[in-house]
Amino acid sequence: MFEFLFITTICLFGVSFFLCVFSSVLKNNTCSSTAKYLFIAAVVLFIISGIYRFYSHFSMNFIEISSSIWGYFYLFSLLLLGIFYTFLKGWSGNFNSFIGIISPFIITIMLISVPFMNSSRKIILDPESAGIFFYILPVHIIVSIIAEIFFFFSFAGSILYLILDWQLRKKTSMKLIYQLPSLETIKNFNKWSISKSLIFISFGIISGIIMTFITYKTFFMGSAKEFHIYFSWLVIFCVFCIRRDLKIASRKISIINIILFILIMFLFIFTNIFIKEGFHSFI
Amino acid sequence: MNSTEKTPEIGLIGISHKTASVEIRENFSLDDSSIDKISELAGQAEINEIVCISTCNRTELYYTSNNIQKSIEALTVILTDISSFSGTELEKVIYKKFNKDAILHLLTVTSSLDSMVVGENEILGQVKEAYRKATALKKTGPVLNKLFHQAFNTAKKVKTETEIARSPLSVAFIATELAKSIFEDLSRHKALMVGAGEMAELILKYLTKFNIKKITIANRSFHNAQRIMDQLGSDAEIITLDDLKDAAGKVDIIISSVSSSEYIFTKELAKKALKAKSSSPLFIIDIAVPRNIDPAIGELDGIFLYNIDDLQQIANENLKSRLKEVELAKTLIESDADDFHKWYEGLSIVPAIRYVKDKYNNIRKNEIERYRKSRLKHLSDRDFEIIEQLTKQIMKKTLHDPIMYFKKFQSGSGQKEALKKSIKVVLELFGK
Repeated sequence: MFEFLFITTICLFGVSFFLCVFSSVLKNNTCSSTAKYLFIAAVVLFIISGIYRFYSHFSMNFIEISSSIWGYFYLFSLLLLGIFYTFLKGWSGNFNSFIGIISPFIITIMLISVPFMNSSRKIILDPESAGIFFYILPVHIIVSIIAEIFFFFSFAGSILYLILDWQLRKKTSMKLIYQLPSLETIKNFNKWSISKSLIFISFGIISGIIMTFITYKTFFMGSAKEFHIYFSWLVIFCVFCIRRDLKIASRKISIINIILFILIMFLFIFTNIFIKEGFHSFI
Repeated sequence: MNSTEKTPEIGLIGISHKTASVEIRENFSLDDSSIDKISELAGQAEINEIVCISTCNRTELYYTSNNIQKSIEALTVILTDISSFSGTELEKVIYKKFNKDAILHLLTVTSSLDSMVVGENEILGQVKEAYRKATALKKTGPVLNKLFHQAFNTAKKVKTETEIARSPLSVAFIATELAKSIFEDLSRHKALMVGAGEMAELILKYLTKFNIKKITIANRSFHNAQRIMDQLGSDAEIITLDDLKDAAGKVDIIISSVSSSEYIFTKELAKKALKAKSSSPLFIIDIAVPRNIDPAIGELDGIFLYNIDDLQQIANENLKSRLKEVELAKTLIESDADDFHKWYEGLSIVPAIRYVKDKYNNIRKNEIERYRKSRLKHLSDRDFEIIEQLTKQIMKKTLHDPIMYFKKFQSGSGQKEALKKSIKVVLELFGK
């Protein structure tokens, strides 16, 4: 049953994405509204499949839900969907742009989660940790994930920027141009996203340092996860600086933003899934 | 419309760019006094309602009449008088449409499918203005009021549900739309106009409409620059062409149309301008022939360079995409025209319903009055109010079924004959 729901959800996201691209290129209103309905159906099925999975496997225990690898991916997608919808629903009043951006990412995350679907690995908190650690840990995880999501926004915005820039240079048609916000709007959005990402990742680091200090009486343990978060902060800070001050063309900044995001995401998945040591690891 | 009156017919008589050249059309142009005159004469020709549309591409008279033949003859005479054309000459260029064809035509015209440039926006405003004039002259009634409002709604629907009016065809407007695709809010950006070409002026006019922050005009002739500034009605800075190098780094949009045999804006100059502007983009429109801007500038990051051919190419693409939408727009228009026609056909039952209602009401009133003077003399006014209400309710409930029987024809199409027969039978039953 779950497998059926899961595959149908991926298919619906995929079909809605292709219909949305198709309708944008061919200006087909029927396709556009079909894409919208299929996307809504995909989101509903996505939620149902999650509830079904959690109910059948974990009896709806939130701690257990968020501690499995698959649950982690699921909640990450859900959060991405929610935050993305909250911030982007008003863009040009065009639901298609929203579907076009979010669907491929949801599909990718869902596909990445497939090998871990039946994994018994769960987040095991450091055995020496206790007390206030349990309160700071969720805050640390959530703000760090939100930071990554805002970084993802700037990544998606950079892709949009390149698409619009390419369309404006192509000089043949305004079809796609009409579907997108202005270059300046996207640029400002990217700047805003990266600044939010920097704020949240800084909070993530501060909460992590507090956690380490409380538990081990040191600020730095040298674990892979710590290296990852410091490296992420450095990358986000660099992107923030070049977006803010340096006189680099926005197209180049967008390319840099995309490359760095892919690098960080690779490290993020690697450190969180494949390394079985350190705080809150999947063991 | 009294109970014995038959439903008026809808008619149209007109001339447009599709049937006549501009040399002929200009003879049919109607000014306010001609419209007043037509409206005045319309009453004598048994025309109940009339709306006169007169634009550079068409002159059309929409009317309703109970004697359609007499009305056509009268309107033909009026148009002959206005144009000084003979009857035979007139017959070659005018078209006449009735009822459903006239309805469909108005909806097509208002939705700009019949325009010279399909999807243009002006026609809707022109039809609205014509309708406003007709209502001011009290020459519209229930049928044309409903028809014109339907036409406005259909035009709006076509505009929102199809892409027909979305892609601009005017080069100047395309340039403005491109500026809006690059910059979030034009009121925060500055434009520089180099030279004083007609097209550049038009682009600047559009940019002014979108509240461009500041305009700088660089021109050889101060007098010409001053004239453009006056026409725009906004404050602009006037500079000479020698100051161009400094000005380029301070603006976001450059419109160039100066006549020059060599590039006035080179790649080096563009690089300097970009440096001065930080990472903010520069939108350059080169509409001069020969070109003023080095095409190599277009390769630079942060610069979007469009020449007249680029803009024309987009205009051509937009036209193609508009024409693709025509079929969808036609379907919407036909569906709305069908709905209106059903409503209009249903109007023929209104006199019959009114006749039956009036007949029952008169009987009711007469009987109450008769009893008031004789057997029910002792009752108070309050009692008669109650009797009045009671009999009204009885009448309403008694007539409910026959009225519903009439109304069911209103929603069905192709039942015109059945409706006529039924009306006849029912009216005979009710003693008419």
